[in-house]
Amino acid sequence: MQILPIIYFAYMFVSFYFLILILLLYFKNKNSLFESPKMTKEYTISILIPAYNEEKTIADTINAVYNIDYNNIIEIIAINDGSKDNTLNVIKSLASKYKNLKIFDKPNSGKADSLNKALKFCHGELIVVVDADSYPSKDSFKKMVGYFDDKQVGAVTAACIPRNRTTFLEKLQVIEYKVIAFTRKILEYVDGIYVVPGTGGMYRAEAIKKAGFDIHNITEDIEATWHLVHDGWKIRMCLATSVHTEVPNKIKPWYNQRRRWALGGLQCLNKYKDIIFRKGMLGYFIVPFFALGLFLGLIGMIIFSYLLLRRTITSYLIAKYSISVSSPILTMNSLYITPSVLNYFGLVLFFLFLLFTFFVLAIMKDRLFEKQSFFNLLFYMTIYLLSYPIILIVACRHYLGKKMIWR
Amino acid sequence: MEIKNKHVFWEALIVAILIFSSGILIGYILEMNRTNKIVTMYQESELNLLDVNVQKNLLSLNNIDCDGAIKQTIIFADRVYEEARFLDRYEDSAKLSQGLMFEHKRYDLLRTILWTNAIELKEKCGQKFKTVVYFYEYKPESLETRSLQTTFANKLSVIKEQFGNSIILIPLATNLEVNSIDYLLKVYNILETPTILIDEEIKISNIEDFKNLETYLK
Repeated sequence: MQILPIIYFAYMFVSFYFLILILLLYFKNKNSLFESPKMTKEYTISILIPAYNEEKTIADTINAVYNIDYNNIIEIIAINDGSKDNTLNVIKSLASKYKNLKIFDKPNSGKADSLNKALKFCHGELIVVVDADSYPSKDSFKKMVGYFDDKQVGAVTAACIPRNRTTFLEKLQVIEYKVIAFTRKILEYVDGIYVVPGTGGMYRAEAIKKAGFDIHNITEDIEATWHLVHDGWKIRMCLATSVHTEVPNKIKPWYNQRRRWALGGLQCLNKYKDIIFRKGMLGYFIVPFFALGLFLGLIGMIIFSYLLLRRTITSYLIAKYSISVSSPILTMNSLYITPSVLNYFGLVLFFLFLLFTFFVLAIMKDRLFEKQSFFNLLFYMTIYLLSYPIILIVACRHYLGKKMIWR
Repeated sequence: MEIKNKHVFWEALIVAILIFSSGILIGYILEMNRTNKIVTMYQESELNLLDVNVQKNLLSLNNIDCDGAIKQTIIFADRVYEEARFLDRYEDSAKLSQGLMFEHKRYDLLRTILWTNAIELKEKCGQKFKTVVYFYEYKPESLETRSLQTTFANKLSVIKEQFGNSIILIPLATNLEVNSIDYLLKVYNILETPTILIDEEIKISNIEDFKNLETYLK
């Protein structure tokens, strides 16, 4: 047997394994998917809102935070990280409206550093980080704090859902975010959550103050999560509530965001590579799972590019020779397609993932948003997901060249 | 982690192995079915060849007319040519078993016998048809060779349609370690692929000569 079919089969098996893993976890835990622990105590909460050039969205974020139905928010700290736009003035205008809104104005030093500095002033038992373009639901805190009754829980995240969903790109991201929210909840059942996104993470103050945010990592939320798990804390996901966030509506900012995520992921992998197959779920599952995802994406893309290149060169040569000898480029015989086992496997796997995405959307639909059109779903499954490994390759190139792009 | 989720990694692995193995098994059965189909076709062709051989032997007794023998040979050659294309398609899609390579060798041998028969027939009955033997490399690695062979094969199928019963087209793979083919390669000094040998005399190996293929066949 040739090497390419073997790689292809291995690739398929791993994808198939994770699909079954997620489905098994779902069926074992489906009754508790949308449940959240009952709030027994109103922990004191400090909210941090780091902002850099967010004049358009920060007012809505602060308003959303003040609308949250929770009685023990002791402070809200809006951090202006040296914004060049009108962000500071917007915050100041709201400070007169909201009495416990504190302003922390500082020169630009990045999100992680801003958060670390603000953490020193926080007094809450729990600390919530909300990006300045995100909007937690009214019931979010009441549904999330109950998890902290378990003394081992260090952080809780909620379903992060796009707020803007009118353009095609935004609609694709709605599908993506729903699938991510679902799988993140599923991974919770094996203590495998690998990120508490900055859009609305709730942390135990004791845990996050010790771990801090890594100023050298451009996805400080992933790194902080791994750090917490490394320190022995558990991470929980609350699917019963959500945080809405602004998602990029144009290709370039979307691409930049994804490249930043991929770069940050690579930084985390490099930082934690030594604990693979050591140190509990972080070493045995989270880091290998993350690494395998990147590796499979890269390998898949390399194989795909290799085959595409071979096919292109062959087609070009055939066309060139055929023209020179006045021979048909295509014959009826070459139009016959005899599918191989690999084609069948690929097709089956594609349909399984399509069904899985349908299934996830069906599960999430009642609790979250609108119907997805079939075309969007197909586009998402083919073109959109194909962009992941392409961006990953670009990120690898940047990473190896040490060109870190923050925004 | 709750107890019910503790063994999920192993459970998923077992389920994945079971389903994946079933898939591989089904794939293998599918390929074996295709091989069996080729084997059946081969057996029918082998019967036809025997028939052609008997007719050729009868020729030596002067009991049969040349036209009938030539007609049977051409019909048989066309059939084997079509079956070769069928076999090619199945071979391209075979990923789990090597059974079709064996069938390919058997077909190549069958076509070699057909060629030698045709040579004899031409000697006994005169030059009433032309033999066009196409030597190619089986599953070439080089993209250049692969493209050139595809072009040659496409053109030859057009030529076959154009010239009909006046030519016998015999494709033979040169790298399947079949002794009789290796011997014929030496006899006709075939050093590269693809090469076309017309009536055991004219050799065409480069694209420039290939352009004039029709003129050699007229």
